[in-house]
Amino acid sequence: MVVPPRADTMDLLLFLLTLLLVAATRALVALCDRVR
Amino acid sequence: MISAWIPLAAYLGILILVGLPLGRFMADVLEGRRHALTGVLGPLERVCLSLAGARTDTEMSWRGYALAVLAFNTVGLIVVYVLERAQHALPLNPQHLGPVPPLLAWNTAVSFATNTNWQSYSGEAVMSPLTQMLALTVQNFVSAATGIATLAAFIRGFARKSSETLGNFWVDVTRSTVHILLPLALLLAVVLVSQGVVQSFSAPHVAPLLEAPATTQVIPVGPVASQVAIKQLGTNGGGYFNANSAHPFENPTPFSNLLEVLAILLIPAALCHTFGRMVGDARQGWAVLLAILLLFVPLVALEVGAEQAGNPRLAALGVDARASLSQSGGNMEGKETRFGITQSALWAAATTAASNGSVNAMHDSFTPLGGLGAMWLMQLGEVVFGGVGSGLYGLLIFAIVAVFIAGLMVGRTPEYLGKKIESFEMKMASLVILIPPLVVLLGTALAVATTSGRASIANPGMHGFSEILYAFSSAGNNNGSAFAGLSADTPFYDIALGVAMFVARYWLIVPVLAIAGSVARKRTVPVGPGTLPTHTPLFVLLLAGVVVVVGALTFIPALALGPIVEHLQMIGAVR
Repeated sequence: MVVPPRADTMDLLLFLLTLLLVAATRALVALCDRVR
Repeated sequence: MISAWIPLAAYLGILILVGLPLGRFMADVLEGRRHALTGVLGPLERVCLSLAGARTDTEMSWRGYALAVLAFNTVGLIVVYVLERAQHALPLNPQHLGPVPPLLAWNTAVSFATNTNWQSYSGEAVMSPLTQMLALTVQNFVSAATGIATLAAFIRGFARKSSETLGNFWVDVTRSTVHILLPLALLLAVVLVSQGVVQSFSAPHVAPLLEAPATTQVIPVGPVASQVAIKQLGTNGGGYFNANSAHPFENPTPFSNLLEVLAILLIPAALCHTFGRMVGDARQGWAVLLAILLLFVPLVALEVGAEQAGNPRLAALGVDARASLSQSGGNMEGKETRFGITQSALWAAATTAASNGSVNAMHDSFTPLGGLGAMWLMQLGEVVFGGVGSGLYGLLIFAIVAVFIAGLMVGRTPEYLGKKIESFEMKMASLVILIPPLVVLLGTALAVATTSGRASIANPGMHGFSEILYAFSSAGNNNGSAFAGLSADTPFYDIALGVAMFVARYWLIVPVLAIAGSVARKRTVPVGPGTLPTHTPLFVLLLAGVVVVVGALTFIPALALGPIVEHLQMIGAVR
């Protein structure tokens, strides 16, 4: 049986997921800047 | 059918009439000119900017503007998440609701920050009034303002010559909120209250029931009108109640219904005129508005026609589904009798054309073709009206592709609004057009290929596929409406749809602003004999054609597996 993570662990994991998405978007900004 | 067309024509007429002065007003606001409300709202704008400590004396490059959008929205997302998770410890929680579970809180935070307003929760049972106001309604304002600000920067790219900057995001987002969204929302909220929309901080009412086993019914109330007004005007769509605008406390009368469905398309329609005014040629605004109407009207007709035709299988069983003085006829499953077929179908088309997502009828209960119309309006990229700001910058990207195609046909360098469209602009435009279909189709494929994705389907077969395709079409285009049959509050859908919403919003804003930055640097090319005029009926047809061809080619195969085969099965063409 899969035991779901504790709520505070989930908070941390979701914060990291948000940071990952933001970092990927920042990388897209840098990429678009470089393509020019 | 004539009785359906009269209100539809009146609706479009009012929309165009009110949109024209509003569009001019918004251009004045975004260009910093004085207007009738400057005396009242100007000081409020200055106080907000001063409290935020924003630097307003300098303008931003496209890169600075994009990073400001991202930073502002990331902070908003985190604030919403924290408020949801801590609502049990905060005031204004008369139902003593507990914290929102982490995955649902994250999905909702992304949803409201990105102007999607996908709701995997039942508002009245999960969110406290404080969360609804401070987290969700605030995002309704600022996510819509982000869209208007981004559009303003994009238009400035074309309107300016040899410029390195596109404006100041902090100024644009504050002006959009304070001068445009706030007064309109205040006015609409007050009128909605007059119609019976609830606005209260009371604890839920408990009503005695007549029959056992249940003896009481809990009826939640809350600050609903203030949320409903901006949810429609800001093309957000997230309802206070789970039933959204089908709920009598959100949308009680035919008049409130008319006001709300007008509010859904009002700002996106008016922004076309804002665009025309800001680029100094009102005809450009009319051209994009006509292209939008050219796409919208046939799809409204499809919605109304499909829902009025109903299900022939019921007719075969002897059910009288004909319209008469005593009944709407057609497919009334999932629709409110106080609205009937036309107002439900018009709303479905408007809410999916704009990236609104509020509903006054349950789309999962629409006929297969009615569901297809709603789904396809989203899949076209939310550019037929589209979201506040985002719809128009999306359509202008298609306009760039249209002039590129025309340029290829006649062998000349394409130009749009006097700016040469070159390889960089086309690369960025390709990103904007390809990212949403990629998100929708990959997400759908992943969901149908995995046990976790399939486990949420309430109706197996092609309708279940439609439910998944609809969910990813909605999230991947920042719409937010749903085929209600899918159980979306699961770890798989909370994360997959959350990522889809984030990518569909910000990964489009970046290349849109990059195009703006690139064309802003260019000089204006004078109009010559080889210039394709972009205000003519020919260009309107070309633009609408490009949107349809891209949308059709990308999504018809997927639609064939869902609503199209379901329709063929319904009429007995396949078994």
